[in-house]
Parts: sequence; structure tokens; C-alpha cells
Amino acid sequence: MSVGVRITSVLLVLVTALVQVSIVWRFDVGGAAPDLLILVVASIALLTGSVSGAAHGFLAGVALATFAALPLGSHALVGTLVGYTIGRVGEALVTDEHPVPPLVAGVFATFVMQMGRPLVEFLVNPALGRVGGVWSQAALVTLISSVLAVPTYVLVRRILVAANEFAPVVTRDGGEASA
Amino acid sequence: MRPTLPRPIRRRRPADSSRFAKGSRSVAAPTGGPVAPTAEYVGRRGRRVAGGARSSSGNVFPRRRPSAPVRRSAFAALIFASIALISATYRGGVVLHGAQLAVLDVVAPIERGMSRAWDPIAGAWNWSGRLLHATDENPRLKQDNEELRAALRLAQKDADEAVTLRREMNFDARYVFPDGYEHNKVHARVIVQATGAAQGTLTIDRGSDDGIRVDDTVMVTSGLIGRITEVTPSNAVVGLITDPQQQVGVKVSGSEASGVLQTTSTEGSPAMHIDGVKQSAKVEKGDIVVTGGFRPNGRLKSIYPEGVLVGEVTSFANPPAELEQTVQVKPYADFDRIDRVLVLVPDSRGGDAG
Repeated sequence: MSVGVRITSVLLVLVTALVQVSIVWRFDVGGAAPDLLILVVASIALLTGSVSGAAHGFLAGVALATFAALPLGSHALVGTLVGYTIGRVGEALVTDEHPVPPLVAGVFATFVMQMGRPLVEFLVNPALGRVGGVWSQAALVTLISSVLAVPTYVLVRRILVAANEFAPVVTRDGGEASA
Repeated sequence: MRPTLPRPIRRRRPADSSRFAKGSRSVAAPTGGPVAPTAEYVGRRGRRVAGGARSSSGNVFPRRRPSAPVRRSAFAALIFASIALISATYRGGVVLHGAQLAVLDVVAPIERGMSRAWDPIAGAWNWSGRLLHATDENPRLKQDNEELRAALRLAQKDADEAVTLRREMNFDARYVFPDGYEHNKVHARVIVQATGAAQGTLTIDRGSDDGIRVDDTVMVTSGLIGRITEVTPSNAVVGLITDPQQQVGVKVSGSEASGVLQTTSTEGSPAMHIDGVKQSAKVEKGDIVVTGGFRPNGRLKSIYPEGVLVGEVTSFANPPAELEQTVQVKPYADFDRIDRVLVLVPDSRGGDAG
């Protein structure tokens, strides 16, 4: 993975976290808001692998908590788990052009984040953790994510492909590799 | 026989038909399907790009699997970092919180700007969502409203009844009942209040089984309303004093004035006057009128016990040419709203008081 892709993916996560906090959370879809950030993390993890996915998941969790003034750590922990898991699946896939993997990855990532974060907060501090209505909320957000998963993946992929072209990896023989 | 090995999933794709790579600028290279690693093409800005847009694995970014120790170490480090963040946050880490606030200070203007820019769109979206929700919610809210109104009416009725019962209890304790009527009082509920042609009667839910007999005096907490005219084991009919057929011997408390209470009109609040008050009797406005305990046609004992509140004098006229005064009386009882009554049963009869 080239430096351009690395920088772009990090910027993509940070910008998406800002957009999530400033814009997406303000859109009420049947009492819930889409989780665009975790879809971006899932897309990056699917495209770049487990270590990168875990790192981006961690970064996304820290960024979201910081931008929204939320308790640090719980988003990052679940994001790391989600990014790593999807990255492992991505490493095993031969092609990334089929729409099913991003769809499944997006649904999985959203559901795990929606269920995992309240669970972590509840385990850390039962007095502050909110578990009531988590099931219904998670189901609704996951449903919304299933619609957005593939478009998000396509967009992320295009951005990263473009970034890869701007800063390709230089090969030993003086040529440039695309990745 | 050769052992079968799991094959990687490969889909046949027509040349240059990659949906995902279509927007890529590096697609100037031969695309579609795996490209040999040795292939070369001139990419954007004239660069020589080895490997084309896609790797031999068929993916845009080749998945070079990191070694297991590297992968596990990185994963463990990130998990550890997350747990450390959680721990520090919930233990009130000042430095961490300060750093978080510092970053927030930097990004807050950006967040505010983005938020404001999207305000109209988000507002319109949420408004339309609420509108749809309101349309669905409206019938349910109407039904809820009806149910609540019904519950409120029941509660109001119960509250009124509680007030009435409390008043009756207080009344029983405070009111000085006529001699011989202190003990046997029957509380009854009005079940029929006749209006129109039959105006002047009430039907109550107590009867002879409760010790009630014809001619027993019936009152409300504010004063006399009539007497029992008919009785069955479980019900009784009350003839009201507003009925012109009814005649009640009354007297003005603290005065020698006495006479027969007559109803002048039953339109609206009943207008009553006392017939037969002597010119010499001294009457004042506001004097209290009570039952006299005598019959109008003589000095025989009345069916009404002496001293039951009836009303008060509202006006009086003393024309010189007449032998009698004209005394107007306003009854204490509100004949338009009688829900519960009190039947005075003589102590001498015994029976069960309600």
C-alpha cells in the first residue's frame, strides 16, 4: 500500500468522523442516524487488510469520541475489532469487485459497533451504560447501513485508487508499482 | 487420483468492464481481469506503472498478508491502547481529557460551519420525517385522547362523589337534626330526576327495606327538598317542595312569623313565598326559614319535623291595606343538581340507618 493511500485513508477517516458528528448525526431516519464512519472503516479494512483495518478502526473511534466529546476508548476498541476482522476477511478474498463482501462487511461492522459499544460501556460502568433499546436501535441503523454499504465502498475504493496513482510505490528496478 | 484443492473464487469479466475501476485514472492501463506483473503502461502524468491497475490477485490493492506475529502484535497493541484509553477516561485522566478538549477546540469551528451549512437540509429532512410520523400518529393520538377523556370523566365523577360523601359526613357531624330524628338517617342516591310535566319528583335507590316510609322528610345537605310520596322495598319517590301541590308549614327563625310555603314559579330557580304571615310579625331580609312542625290547616303536627332548614328571606312586602305580609323565600337546596339525598327516619321507628 502506497504512502498516498495511507495518508488518504487516514484523512478520509478523519473527515468522515467530522462529517458524522456535524452532519450525519443530525439526520433522523426513523429515530436513528446512519453510521457512515464505520462503513468507511469497513471499506478501508476490506481493501487494505487486517492491520490497516484495525488501525483505521482505532483511529476512527478516537476521532469520533474526540470530535463529539464522548468518553474515549469504547468506540476505538470496537472499531479495532471490526477493522481487524473485516481486514482478515479481505485478505482472504481474491477479488474485491463483488458487491456482496462490502455489503456483508458494512452490515456486520454496523451491527457490531451498535451492539458492542453500549456493551463495553455497560461493562465498564453499569451505572452509565445504556442498554435499553439497543437491539431495536442496532437493527434500524444496520438496516440503513445495508443501503449505504455498497455506495460507500465504491466511493472509498475510487478515492484510494486515485490516491494510489498519485503516489505509487517505486519498485527496485526504478519502475513504479501501483500498490 | 489427484487431490482436490480449494480454488480461489474468480469471476469472468469482460475486458474493461470493471465497475469499480472505471473511475480510476490509472485505468489507462489494460484493465479487466488479472494483469501480468510484467505488463507496463503509461499512467497519468506519463509515469511508467508496473503491474497495471490491478494486481495479479485481481484486487486493486494486493493483500500482502502480514506475518502472523506482526499482525497479532499490531492488533494486541491497538486493543491494549483502547483499553488504556477506556481506563484513563473512566478514572478521570486529566491529561487525556485536556488533550481531547484541545483537539475539540480546534475542530469545533469546522464542526459548527459544517453543521450550519447543512442546517436547512437536515431541517427539511427531519421535518418531512416528523410530518410522516405525525400522520401515522394522529389516529392513535385521537384514540388515546378519547380514552383519556373517558378516564378523566370517571375520575371527575369519583372526585365529585368523594366531595359529596365528605360533605355528608361533615354534615352529619355538624348539623343539628330535629328531635327524634338524630339517629336514623338514610343516605340515598338519586336514580331518576323527573323533569318537564312530571317535574317535582325524584326517585332514590333506597326504599322500605331501609326503613323508609311514605311522608318521611327528605333533605340535602343544604336544606329541605321534599318528602317521600311513594315507596317500594328498594326505591322511593320524593315529592319536591317545588311542586305547587306540596304545602309546607314554615316559620322564620327568631321571629313570630310563620305560614305556608308556596311555590310561585318553577322556571329556572324556584321562586317561593310564605302565605299567612301576620302584619305584626317582624321579618328581615336574610332571616332563616325553617320547617314549623305544624300543618297548614291547623296546629296539628306536621309531617315535617320542626327546625329543618328551608331557605332564607330575600324580600318582604308589608302593604297597609293587607292583613298579611308577602315574604319571598329563596330555598337553600339547588333543585337543579340533586345527586344524593338524606331521608330522615324517625328514631321511634327504628330500622337500619344508611
